[in-house]
Amino acid sequence: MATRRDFMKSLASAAAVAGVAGGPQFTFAQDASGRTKTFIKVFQRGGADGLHLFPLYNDPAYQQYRPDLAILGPNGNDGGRAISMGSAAAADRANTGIRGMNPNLAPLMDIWDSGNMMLAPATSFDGAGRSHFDNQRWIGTGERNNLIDGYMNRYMQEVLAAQHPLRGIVAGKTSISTEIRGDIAVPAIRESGNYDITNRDLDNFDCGDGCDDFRMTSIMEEIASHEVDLSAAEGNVKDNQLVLAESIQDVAAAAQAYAMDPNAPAYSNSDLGRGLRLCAQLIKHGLPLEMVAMDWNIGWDTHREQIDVNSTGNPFIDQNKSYNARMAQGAADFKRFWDDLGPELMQDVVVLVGSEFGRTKKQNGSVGTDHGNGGAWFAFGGPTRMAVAEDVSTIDDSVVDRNWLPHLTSYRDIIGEIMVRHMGMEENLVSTVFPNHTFNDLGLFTSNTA
Amino acid sequence: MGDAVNHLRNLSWPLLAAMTVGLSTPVLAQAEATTPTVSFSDLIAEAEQPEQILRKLVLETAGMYTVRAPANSGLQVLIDGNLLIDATGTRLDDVGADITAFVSLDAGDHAVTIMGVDEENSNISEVTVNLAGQAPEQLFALTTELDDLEAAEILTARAALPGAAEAAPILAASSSPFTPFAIGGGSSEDARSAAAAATAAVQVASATTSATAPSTTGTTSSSGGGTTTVASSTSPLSPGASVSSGVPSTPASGGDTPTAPDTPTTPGTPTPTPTPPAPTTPTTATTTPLTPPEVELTEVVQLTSAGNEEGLVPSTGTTLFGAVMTDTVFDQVAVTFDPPRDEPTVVSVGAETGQFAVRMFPEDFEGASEVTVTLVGQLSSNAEVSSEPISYTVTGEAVQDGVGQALSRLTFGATPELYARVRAIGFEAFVNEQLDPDSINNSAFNAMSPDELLDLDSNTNNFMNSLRDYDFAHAAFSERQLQEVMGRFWANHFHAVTKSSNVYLQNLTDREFYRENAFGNFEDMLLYSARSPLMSQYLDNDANSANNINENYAREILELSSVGVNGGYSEDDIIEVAKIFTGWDFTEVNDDDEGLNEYEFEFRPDRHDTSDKVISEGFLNMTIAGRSGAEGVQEGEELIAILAQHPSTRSFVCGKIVQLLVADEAPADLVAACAAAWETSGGEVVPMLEAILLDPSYITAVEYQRNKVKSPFEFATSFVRAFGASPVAGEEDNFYRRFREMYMDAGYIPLTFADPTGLPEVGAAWTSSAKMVAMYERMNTITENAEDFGIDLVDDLLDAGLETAEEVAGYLLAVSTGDRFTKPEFDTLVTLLSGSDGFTPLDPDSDESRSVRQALAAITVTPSFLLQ
Repeated sequence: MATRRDFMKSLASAAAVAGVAGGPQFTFAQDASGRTKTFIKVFQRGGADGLHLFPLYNDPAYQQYRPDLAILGPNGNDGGRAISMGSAAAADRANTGIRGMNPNLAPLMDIWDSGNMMLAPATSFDGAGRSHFDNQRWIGTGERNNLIDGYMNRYMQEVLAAQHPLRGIVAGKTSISTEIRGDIAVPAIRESGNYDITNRDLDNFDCGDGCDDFRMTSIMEEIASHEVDLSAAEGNVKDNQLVLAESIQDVAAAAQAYAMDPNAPAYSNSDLGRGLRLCAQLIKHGLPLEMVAMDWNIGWDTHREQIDVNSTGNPFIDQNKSYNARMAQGAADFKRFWDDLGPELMQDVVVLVGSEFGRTKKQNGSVGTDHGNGGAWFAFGGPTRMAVAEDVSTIDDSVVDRNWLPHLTSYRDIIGEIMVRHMGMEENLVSTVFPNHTFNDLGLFTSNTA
Repeated sequence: MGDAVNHLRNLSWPLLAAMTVGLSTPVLAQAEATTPTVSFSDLIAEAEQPEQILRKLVLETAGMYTVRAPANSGLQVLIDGNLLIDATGTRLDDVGADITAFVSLDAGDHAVTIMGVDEENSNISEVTVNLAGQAPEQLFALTTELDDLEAAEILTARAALPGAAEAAPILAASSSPFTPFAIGGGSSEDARSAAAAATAAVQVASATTSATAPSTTGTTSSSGGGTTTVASSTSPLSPGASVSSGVPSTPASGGDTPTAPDTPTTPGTPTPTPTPPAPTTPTTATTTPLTPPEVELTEVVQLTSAGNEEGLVPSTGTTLFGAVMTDTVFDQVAVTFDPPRDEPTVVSVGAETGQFAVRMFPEDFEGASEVTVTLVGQLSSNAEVSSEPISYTVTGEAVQDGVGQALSRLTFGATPELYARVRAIGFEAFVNEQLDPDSINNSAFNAMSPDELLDLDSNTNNFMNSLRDYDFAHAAFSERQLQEVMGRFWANHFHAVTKSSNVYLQNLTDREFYRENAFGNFEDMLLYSARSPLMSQYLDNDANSANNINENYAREILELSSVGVNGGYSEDDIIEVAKIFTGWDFTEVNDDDEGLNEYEFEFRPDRHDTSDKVISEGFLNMTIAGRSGAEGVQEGEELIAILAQHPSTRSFVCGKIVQLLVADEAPADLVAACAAAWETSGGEVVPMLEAILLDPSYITAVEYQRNKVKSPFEFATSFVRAFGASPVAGEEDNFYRRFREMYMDAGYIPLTFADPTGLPEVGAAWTSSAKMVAMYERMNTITENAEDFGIDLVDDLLDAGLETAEEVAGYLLAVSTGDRFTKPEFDTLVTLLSGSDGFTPLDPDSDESRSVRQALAAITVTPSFLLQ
């Protein structure tokens, strides 16, 4: 197994032979203009209810099966109803029901209206079950098998680029998502502030030339760089220590530069808000960020009381209900990110949001929904088209026989298309990144003509 | 605090008391107490022994039968001579009223023996039998009279049947009757008590051995052989005369060498041309592996400790101790190795003690298992001064003593004392001791009054944090370490979280249950968790009712608690299981509204789905008959009994245990061994652990060692244990808070981790830069203020008889890594300890506390400290 340290060593020796600083030049994932392309995958862990996020409001069966939970269709400026996504939400496909947007997601409407967002309302994968943890794992590895590497890490292995510790990251949380786990160690950065190690007994600040400001970090890096590993666990620990030591300075510099911007928005202090803010900092600082895994967890596993039945206001937007409030908070964070980067930089970034499954089409006995199959995934930025992927016309039992939406779109095709159309990966690598998957081009993203 | 403690006792101590009764009331004593004078005349006529009646059961169909008897009824039920139910113990009300057993019976005649019938015969009518899945019927009504003669005929006929063994209860071991709910009543408890008595002696005998008792090894050298040479008297060192020529190096007894090759006091003979080294001088150092022994020196420079009785050292690395006879001459020792190292090695000599330490690493043994170590005493200020070289042969061998495994997997971290103890008594004795927690004296921990950490009076957030601290104290300081490891494992296996309800106190009640039953029976724990109000509200079982099915708990009891995601169940099975658990609810029991609310299990027949539940062919292939009224709860109890003994449950849960104790990728053979022990014992944890831990590969297989990564919680506890941190009086809250902030910042969030999977065990889940930043940054606050956390390493090191940087580095790394660390780590510590002015802890004018804090901080970022 080629470890990060092997790679760095080969890089160093190659540089020495070539006699040039920086070592060999590889191609970045970039278009003709030479700009790095970034793919941000946001995981809604817990099984987000796609029918609630994007209600099929015109479907009588939807209203019938969810007597408490169904959101009514748009009616003027009534903020407690579904928001119309316009004709585009239905026009794309034949025989498709009409999707609206959950009123808590209102900030996303600006992005939708810009024509740079797509919705895939019945997304899943072959062999999906209804277990959270199985599905999360298989989505992360890219296939229902025992692969260890995630599809994002395989992308990094397959697509050559200049080795940089921030090429792939986990943002906003502390654990390495399955999607990006693998042979190439990536840093997890919960937030840019305090992403360092300081020890007053070891560090020697302001002690003049030749002494070590961050001696504890240096000690860690020095020990970790030794090659003698007696177990895979030891190698993994060292690789993560190295990628930590190597990424500290860039993260700090990016955060410092970002702090100078008086217009920088205030993201929420959630996994999502911290993660998006970190991405904005790194991208704006010109760092070659390609793959980002982050989470948007608000309590999606709504087995009971998905709405507050005792709410004195409109139960679908009552912000005393955490589910509503955190949905709105997340939508606002996406909008902040969209504005923060601006139209120019957003051309280089695709954000894809999805969950391990949707939920049952009928509400259960406790005003909740249980685990289903097809879920609503959406993406924005970069070459994303205003589009709605294949959908059902109704969830009526006569058409959809099980108690959940079927799997009509494979998430592998969505991501495959992002990697090809946006990242510029060769199409024949899709079946390597997603083993045994035959790429099916859904046309949800415009062709990159560069 | 006083009120809090009382409150706690009231709350959860009845549970302990019940267990104690079970333990202290042997089955025999109960049997005597219940020896009835049966007044039911028909029965007396039947039974030759008044407490035992015989009945004949004629079955039309073969199949799996369910037999039930009331718990605590004093009854024992035998079918065809096999003890099926033993209800003579004392069982918690908490886990249900009936003992359920399953037995595979063929069609035909069966002899049923019922023992312990009470005077009013009230208990016998409650014994029921039914084909599994059907409604129970009174056993007595189904059976007819049977006399001894006919019973003997039945048994004889059965014994002749092919496959007769299959008539034995499938869940019972022949020697240890299956008691599905062993809490307080299980025979296994008694068996363990007996085992406790047997091993207690071992512990007492070795309890006086400690890491800092040098006398044990000090005597070894002088008693080791027939030679009586006392080197210091026969080769007196005259410092002034020894400058360039070395010292008289061959004592008169040197000639003994050929004839007494194993004589410890006969040193290798240093000659100008090093000869093949003669037998090693070092003493055996089995009981004080961390500190230098006191040895009468025979050479000007010599090793005093290296290896075991055979002169073997672990090829994974070891510290050799040595001493010089006159430390005023030599302040350092140059060490050369053959096969050679790339870099020269020079170690310092203690100015006061004359001691030095040489660390050997795995690389030293890569070229050859026999390595020659040659020592030359030097004076750093004068290159002309050196001693004659003296050589020793050190033989490296694979470590098979299990010390590293014992300290890193079966505990929350090594302590110097435990390190010495495991070395002294051996791995197997340590395992047996730990598997019998009642035999372990825990008075020191109890004296810390961990109960006082619990805050039951302020608010729920403080309560939850106090419970985390209470658990941390147990992990860090209890002597019953394996019980803590397994208690934590089970609590995490049956993970449940307070979710939009007032069920808080149950977090403590449940945690205590899994701690106390860490070595109990799996079925007890599965049933307990199903009935726990905490679990019920977490996975919405309290919202699950007839016609309003909520499938959340049904899915997770299958996927996470029992058979696992590949257990073979279908989506429709989940619905059926959800129906079985309808009506499983809880109710508040303290209505005074003082303090935290208490709840208990309540079955609500009005919410129960009474239809028959059909479990698919691909899964259990059975129908569980629907029942109404209070009997509806039996459906779930039956299902739990079946799940608890299902092969998929055995391999899934054993897989997790093996993952915890052996390797992230659980080796299949150890999983199989655990599952087999489960099958034989009916789910008793002790035999399962024995099957794993006492398999020879557990301590011999190299790939099982140092292959796991500590969780942030283990990172914190192992730091406390290795370096002797403890709460300073008045600073308890601060102490626990700092460590809590560390593991929680790193994502290890006990009690409220959102996923029902519980916290992950695999190392990859805990290895990331963000977690390292959280752990290391938070730990720095502790190492920078070490004295506030009760750490006084300088004193500890002096107490351990250590003086040089090499001795101290070796000691600190050994206790914190189970003596498995790397050369870069060791060299870093030596550099930090030495500083620019050397390491002189015994010099009253020097203060080495900062150097030691630096070393401590460096250890926390070493890979070896993060591995286990």
